[in-house]
Amino acid sequence: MALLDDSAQQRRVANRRPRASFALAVAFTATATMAAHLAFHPPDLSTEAMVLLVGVAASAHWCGRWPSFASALLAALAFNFLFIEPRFTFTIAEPSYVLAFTVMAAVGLGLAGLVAAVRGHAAAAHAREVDLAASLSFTRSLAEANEVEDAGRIAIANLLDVVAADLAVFVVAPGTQLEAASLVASHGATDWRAPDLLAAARTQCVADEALPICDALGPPRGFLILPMRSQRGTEGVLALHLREAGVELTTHQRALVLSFAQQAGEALERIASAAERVRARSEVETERLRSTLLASVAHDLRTPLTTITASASRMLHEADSLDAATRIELAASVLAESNRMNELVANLLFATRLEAGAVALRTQWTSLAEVVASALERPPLRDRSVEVEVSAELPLLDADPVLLEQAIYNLLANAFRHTPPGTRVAVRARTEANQCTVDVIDDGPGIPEDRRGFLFRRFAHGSHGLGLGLAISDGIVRAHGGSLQFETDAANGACFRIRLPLPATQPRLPESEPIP
Amino acid sequence: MTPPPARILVVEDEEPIRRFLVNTLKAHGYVVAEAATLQQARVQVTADPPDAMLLDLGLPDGDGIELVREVRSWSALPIVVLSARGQERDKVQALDAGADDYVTKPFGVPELLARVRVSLRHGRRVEAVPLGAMTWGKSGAAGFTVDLERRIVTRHRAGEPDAEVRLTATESRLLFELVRQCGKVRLHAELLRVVWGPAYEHDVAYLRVYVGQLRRALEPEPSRPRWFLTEPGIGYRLAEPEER
Repeated sequence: MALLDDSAQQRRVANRRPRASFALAVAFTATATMAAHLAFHPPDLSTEAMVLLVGVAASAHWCGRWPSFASALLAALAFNFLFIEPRFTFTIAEPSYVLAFTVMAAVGLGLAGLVAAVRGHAAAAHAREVDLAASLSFTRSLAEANEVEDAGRIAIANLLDVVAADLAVFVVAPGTQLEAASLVASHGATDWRAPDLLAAARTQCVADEALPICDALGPPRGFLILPMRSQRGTEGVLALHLREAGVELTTHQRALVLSFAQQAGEALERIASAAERVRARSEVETERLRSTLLASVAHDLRTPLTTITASASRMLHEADSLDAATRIELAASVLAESNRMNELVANLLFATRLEAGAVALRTQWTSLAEVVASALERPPLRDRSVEVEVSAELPLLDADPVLLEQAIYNLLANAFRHTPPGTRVAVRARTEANQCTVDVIDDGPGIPEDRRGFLFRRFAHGSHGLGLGLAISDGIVRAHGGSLQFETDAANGACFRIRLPLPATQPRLPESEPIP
Repeated sequence: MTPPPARILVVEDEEPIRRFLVNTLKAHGYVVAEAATLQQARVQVTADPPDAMLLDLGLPDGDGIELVREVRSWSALPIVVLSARGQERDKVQALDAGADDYVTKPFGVPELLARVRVSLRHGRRVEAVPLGAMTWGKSGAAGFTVDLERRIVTRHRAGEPDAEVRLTATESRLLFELVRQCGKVRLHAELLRVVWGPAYEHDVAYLRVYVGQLRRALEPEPSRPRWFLTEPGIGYRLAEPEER
């Protein structure tokens, strides 16, 4: 911040009013004249000349170029008037005094010019240093911006050190026109949407790529528009509103503002291309997932379709030779495989809902016992024997019953599909601490260790569409804030455990009534 | 003298499904008319109102729910909606608009016929007040009997004498309401409104608890209910009685 204070002081020196500077120069000269008068010792006038020149030097140092020239002239006149014979006139009697006066005037003027020039150089060097530091700090903070909004805010914060104006940063989205640029950051009370800035910016700045800065044509006056350009084109516009009438930017301010706009343009390009890379990567990822899904679905649909086609064509072509038992068996397998396809399609629909990332849970107070019971009502579970240990006394869950049913159904259907007929399958639920667990257990062969790591990977393709069903269950449970895990400590067979958070409070319920 | 066969209008745009529905219903003694679009259905249902309508919701020229609303403005004819799993919101909307029931695609023939039968029964007597006693469960097996006139509920268990079941006032109201329109899906909001009152329309938790209590009182295996069925995200359905 020392830097800012410094530059503020610079501005104050530069802006000091000229009349005050002249007054100061006159004061210096007057003081020096008095001192010289006290030291008056004719006929040698060198001391008087020296003392007067000190006044000129002081003026040159503190008052600037023109006041110091004035001081030099005044000093020369005072030298003549007060000290050169005849005294108290502006005439010079002796030729030697003419030389003394001329030397005095020349040295005074030269000194004033020299000191003022040196001071000017020092000030310019200092200003350059300040500008460079400001520019570097701007570059550094811009490099940390990852969003266009951040870049806009940083640009405005840094510009406010340079100009006193209302500021706004508009950013052009790739492939759109300048008129569609969106306001990402602003400062001050100006309503940026009111003046038709962007149209003016387009006509003036974009039409002429070389034109760096322009005053907006459209009313109200006082707006400045700078395109923020990069290698690939115009990234946006920087708008300034000089609210004080008649105030204009100095050349120095203009240069600095231009350089800031240039840097901001490059930063915006960097941010945009980084975002583009991220988007491209996620598109590739989505595309990869989609093709894996499609391959998996095609396979999983074809398996039941093969059975259905074969069974139906036998029933059709061998209608006369089939006995009743075979016909029933064929029809039953068509039905069973159709159910399997239906299950797959249901899961696919849920998969798209989960994939879209917008699983709108339609939660309501839900009884786990009911959800398990309705999952068990769906074919083919309807006709299977399942040990159910789900107490109706369990607390109610705030959950989406349709999705939860699908999650539990998938685990149960999975258990039957991967175990030999007659294997014991059980579903158990209980509460512990602030969560509720549902276990789906079977006494089947279990899951080989090398496959356990892939169980929930979306569409990790096992035989029989294992991947999809489990991935859907996992997605549903996680959408409820819970987890689905394969329990490795199960004695034998497989155990999938759903953990669901219990709601903080239970719903209000009516008081229990007496039985009449 | 047998009553004339019921006339059913099948509205379905998918030709194979429509043909299957028509053939199946004809095979079971119904007279069937068919329509493939909303417009055709609109014409048929006004020109020659059927006894019941099977309606697919997704038609090429509009949403079946529109037709439900139109028909309800002038007729109480039973409407059974055909819809897929995962479209619970559509089903609730259709039921709210006045549809009587739904069949989830893909469906089995027994389920389809049961819905048609139930809807026709409720269609004939809008306030279906069954007379006498109804029994759920085969005789000699576990089950229960509800006598609406005498307001008595009896439980049957194999090897036990029949026993009267004592229910609280609310349990009875809920049970009788379900029995009154048994076989038909009942929306959560509808049951809550009738049993507890309009202010309780959204208190689904009440139903969860009370249906659970009825199951424990009447179902032989409450964790796998046979009669008090849950329609997830929609409501409840009391299965049709085995004897009436």
